[in-house]
Amino acid sequence: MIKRKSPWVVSLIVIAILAVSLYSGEITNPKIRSLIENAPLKSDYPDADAIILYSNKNLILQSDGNYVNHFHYLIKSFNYMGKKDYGNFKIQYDEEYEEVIIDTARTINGLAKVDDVDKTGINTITPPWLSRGSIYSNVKEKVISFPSMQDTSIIELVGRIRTIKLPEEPYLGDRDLLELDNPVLEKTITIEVPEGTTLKYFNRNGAPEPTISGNRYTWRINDYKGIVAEPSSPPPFEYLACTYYSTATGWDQIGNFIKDKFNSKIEPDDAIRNKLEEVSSSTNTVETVKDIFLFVADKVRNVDMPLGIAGYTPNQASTVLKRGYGDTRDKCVLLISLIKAAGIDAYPAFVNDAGITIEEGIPFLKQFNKMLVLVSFKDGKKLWLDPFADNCKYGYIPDCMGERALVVYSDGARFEQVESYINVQNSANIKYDLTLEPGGGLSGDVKVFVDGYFDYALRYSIKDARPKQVEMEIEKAANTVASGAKLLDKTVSDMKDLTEPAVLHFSFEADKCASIQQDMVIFYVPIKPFEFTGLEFPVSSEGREFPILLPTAFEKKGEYEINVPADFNIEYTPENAQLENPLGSFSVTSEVKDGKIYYSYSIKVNKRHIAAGEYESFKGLVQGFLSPKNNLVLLEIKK
Amino acid sequence: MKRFIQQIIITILVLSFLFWVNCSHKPGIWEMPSGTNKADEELMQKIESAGSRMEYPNAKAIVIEDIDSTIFTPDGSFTQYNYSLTKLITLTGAKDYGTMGLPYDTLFFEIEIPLARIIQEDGSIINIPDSLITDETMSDLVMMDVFWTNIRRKVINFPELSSGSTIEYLIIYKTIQPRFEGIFDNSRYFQSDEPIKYSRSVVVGPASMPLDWKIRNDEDNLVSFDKKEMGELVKYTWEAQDIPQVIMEEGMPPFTDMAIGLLASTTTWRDYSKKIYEYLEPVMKTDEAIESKVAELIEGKESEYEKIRAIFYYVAQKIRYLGLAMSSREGIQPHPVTETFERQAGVCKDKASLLAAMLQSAGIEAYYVLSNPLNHVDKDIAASQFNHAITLAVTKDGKRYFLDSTDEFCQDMLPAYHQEQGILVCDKDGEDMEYLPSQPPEMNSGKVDIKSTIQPNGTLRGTATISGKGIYDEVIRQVVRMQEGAQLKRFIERLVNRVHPNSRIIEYNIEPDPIMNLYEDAVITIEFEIEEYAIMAGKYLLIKPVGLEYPFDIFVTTYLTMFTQLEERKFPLNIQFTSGVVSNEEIILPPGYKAKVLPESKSLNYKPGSFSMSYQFKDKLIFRNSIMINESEIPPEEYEDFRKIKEEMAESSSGLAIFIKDEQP
Repeated sequence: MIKRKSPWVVSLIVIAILAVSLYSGEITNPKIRSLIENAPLKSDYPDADAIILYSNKNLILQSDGNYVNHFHYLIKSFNYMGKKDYGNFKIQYDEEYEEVIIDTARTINGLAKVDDVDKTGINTITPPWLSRGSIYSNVKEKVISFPSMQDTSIIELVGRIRTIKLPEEPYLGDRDLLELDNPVLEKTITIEVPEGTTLKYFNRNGAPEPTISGNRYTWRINDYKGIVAEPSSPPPFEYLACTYYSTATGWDQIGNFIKDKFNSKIEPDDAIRNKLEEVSSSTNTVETVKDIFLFVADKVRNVDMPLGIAGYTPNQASTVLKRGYGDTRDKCVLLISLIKAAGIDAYPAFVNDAGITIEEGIPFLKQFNKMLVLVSFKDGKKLWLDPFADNCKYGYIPDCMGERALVVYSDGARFEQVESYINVQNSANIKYDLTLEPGGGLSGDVKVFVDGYFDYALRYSIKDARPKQVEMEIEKAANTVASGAKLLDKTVSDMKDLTEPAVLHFSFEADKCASIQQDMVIFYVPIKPFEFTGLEFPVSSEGREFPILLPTAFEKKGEYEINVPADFNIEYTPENAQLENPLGSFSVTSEVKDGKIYYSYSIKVNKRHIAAGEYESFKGLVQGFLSPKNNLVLLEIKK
Repeated sequence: MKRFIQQIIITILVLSFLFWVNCSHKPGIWEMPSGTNKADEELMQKIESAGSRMEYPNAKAIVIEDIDSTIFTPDGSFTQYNYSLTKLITLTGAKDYGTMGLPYDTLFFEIEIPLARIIQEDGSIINIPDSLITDETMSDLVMMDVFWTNIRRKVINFPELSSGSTIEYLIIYKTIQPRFEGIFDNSRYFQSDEPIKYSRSVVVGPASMPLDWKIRNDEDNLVSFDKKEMGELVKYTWEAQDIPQVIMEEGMPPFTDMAIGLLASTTTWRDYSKKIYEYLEPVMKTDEAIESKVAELIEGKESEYEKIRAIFYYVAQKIRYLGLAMSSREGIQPHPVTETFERQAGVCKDKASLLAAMLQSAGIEAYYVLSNPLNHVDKDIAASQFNHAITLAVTKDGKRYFLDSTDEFCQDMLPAYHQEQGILVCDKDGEDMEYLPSQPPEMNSGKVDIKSTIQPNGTLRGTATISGKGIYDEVIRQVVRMQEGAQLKRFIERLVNRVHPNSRIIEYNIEPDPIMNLYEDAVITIEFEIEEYAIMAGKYLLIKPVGLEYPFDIFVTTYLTMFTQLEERKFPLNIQFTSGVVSNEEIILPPGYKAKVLPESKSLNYKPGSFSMSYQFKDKLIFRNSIMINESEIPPEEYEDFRKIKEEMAESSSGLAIFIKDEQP
């Protein structure tokens, strides 16, 4: 017998359903509901701006080269910065090959208040970093702006990026960070490869092993506490758990892919050959290469965009030549083509200049963000060139010295070490000839000699500036020697000549520099005329958890001859000081002779990567050098 | 009317012809010839005689011609033709001009580029194909979390540029709808950062809508003017020749404030104010949700001021700054306040109107106000010069409170950078434009108090307390808000490290908690220690007061240092607000020392600023120093005095209190 339900029961059931739906908004997924209900508080993570409650990436690679990348994020903001970071969520994609589909986007301020993102809250923009290069690339950002976002809101975003057209480059591999600054409750990354395909992977910095189920590889992170980012750290891939993965069979597969793209574009044609004749008349191959390089580096405009953003197919060399601008691919193609036209071998090379280690066991192109050219002379000598280096002395490769680069030869792709052709010192030497005036003023000459990284930094600041602006920069430099300084004269070497060192010389006078206190005169030897020769190092913290990555290993020196008024007694000059440890050294010397003070300093840092465990030594070195007593001079006015 | 329309058509045709003739082009300019061809002799002559680096050593390019012609109609719609011929005279110029961005608003304008080409030194012409003209969103807006997809930029990519190339283009702007119905206004510049050989602006409009106009910053009277009556139309022409380039100086006011420029308008400030009010009125209706929130916020508040403050803090801090394009007059008309409230997000116009509506709901007289905190607004001409919106509340006793709800850190409700800037209150009867008053530096100054003890081994242990008023308080809050936990500790470590590289923090404290509680002043207290602080130099003990170089000052001395490095200035120094910092310090010395020499007290008072410093010793060393910046913009003739303040400060920073062992204890 079928019992008919009492109307009261029916009503109660209806009321219960309504109550649940009113209470729950639209969150029906029990796992998500639970995460929201039990979301941690800021007090649980006092250093974090937000917490990733749930993050799932599921990349499905199809055998035809297409792919779908599903994503699901549930993030709780803890504060103002968390709100800023996640309130406008950006998803990068290539409009030509991909589309972004948003299935769910909503702000959750408690389960009873769920606000969906409406269509006005989803916008497509050209990323700001692409604003002068949009001709090259169809990369866009989908921006999802979450409504009703407060400091402690939760956002949920579900969607996918999928191919709408077969991409130019097969999806061979990538790298993913499993850890970031913010803490994570649960994060999974799943890569599904086509049947019969093997995924090579390599975990770094303690990343967990994936669970492998057939052709699915899943990495999982749970209860990650987060980190506090430290200044001057290397990129996160260098110290946070991450994984590199690839379906490529080897670097030769990558090499062949590149050769297919580049070979036909590199072949010199009449336009290239004519240009070569214009650019170089030398019969010496080394000189010829130099002439070609100087033309490509300086005369062809750099379109600055990371490698890969616009794909890997360069334009024809003669097209690049005609246009007069190019990104890293195009300028390499042009450089190689011109060098080939001169009968010299040259090869494209791929490198990473952001300080991210290349995992040579996991072949995929996204490891690289820049291209170089390796020239190979008949006598076996090799020369590395960076066609984007329009602010460097010829032969210097900014940010890549000593890095491993993948060179695509005609017979295969191999890794080589990037080295400098010239003997680069990465040094700044400044010579001061100063006169302290009886009234406390200071006048003198300053000569600046720079090399390597410092040459690059100096040229960068003034090479393309207007003459009047160059003068302003040097005035500013004179003012860091002595406040209120008046520039009397200046000589600047031709910064546009990349074959000659950058030299700067100026003379100045300033009315006030030393402090006169009755019969005592206090003077600090000036040690910082230019920003690039300044000492800005992150040594204010007590300790560090993560390494430091400096722009370069370096050496800086200052040599001073300071004339002192005849009626001043030199009471105190800095005591000689020095320190040497495995990271570097510093020394300060001063001597009084014939009424003059001869002062010099040097500081040398031996490497750019400073491990966390070496921080104390590094701090000791820098702090020891910067001690105020190292440049204090005390004089007394004779009675 | 028919006659009027006929006249418009004739004028357009005539103007086009004149334009073409004056530009000396070949017939068929409006076509895009394929392949390359050669420029005619007259054009080449113009280019060759324009000059080179010899004549213009500081230029990267020479603008040979910069011409625009605008025709407007009674409803405020217009069509504008912009023509430019620019010769590149350096390689850097060739690189810089490789791309050219043209902003435009798709809600109000269509843009056509019928001409874009390069004329090479040999006369060959390269026409820019459509494929080299892209359309993108404005990156500047995106960086401010404004995602108005109607604001876009056309980018022309010029290939094959080298020193000696000349670029030529014509752009046509046509209104889709006027920004302000029945109003036409225009601004354009006769000067740029490159020299300009010839510049002309022509405006044609109905005689019934006469133009008020003004040329700004033209001390040498380079711009001439002509007016022609043409029946029902009037033609206004401004032109100038050989206009020198502006060489940018660090810290100068916005270029648009300094360059020779034209402002023109058919309206008055009162009518402008009324027009904005017309757009505003429909969006100001509140609903129950808003009214309920207002009631909640003002509950228990007795004075109108307290109510204003409560509502202001809510809008400033709870309504997120976010720009989403939702209306047909996006950028001009605020979103309905009910929508802004529901979304809890909006840009300045949305927040300002919501604040006004909420204040009105609380029974407080309130208005929407246009402002511009960055540029100088010219009072003489009612042209669009505003880029921001704030709110005015008026209490029953007639006191006015200007409120900027975009700034969530401002205790005073109007940040200091609004001082002396132009504003326009929008109400139904219309208001005239006015300028906000200047503020004395004390209203925006920092205060640093330091107490320390030096031990016999030279170690110093001390406590510094940092607080401030006005913008100083605001900056403290911003710094703290953006960094929490370990990041904040790192910031404090950096501050202390500025005293001495050996410094270390013992403890620190920030009040109030939360820092966004604007009812309490922001205060940072730091306890620190520095080994080997006092210098033993032979028989002397040398002590530099901890606050001598203002290490705990958040920004004042940085500004002073940054902006006094040039020997002289051609342009004013734009600091945007008055401010200062005062430091009081007491240092207890180790026993057994007496003062040998203390630096002399100093006091400098100039119109743009002042500096003072004093040392006293009696049982302990007492040190005081202060810097005040009295003007938000320092004219070139006062720069030297301003620089003297920095020089004095720098010289004083070499000073040391010198003590000597007391032979007689």
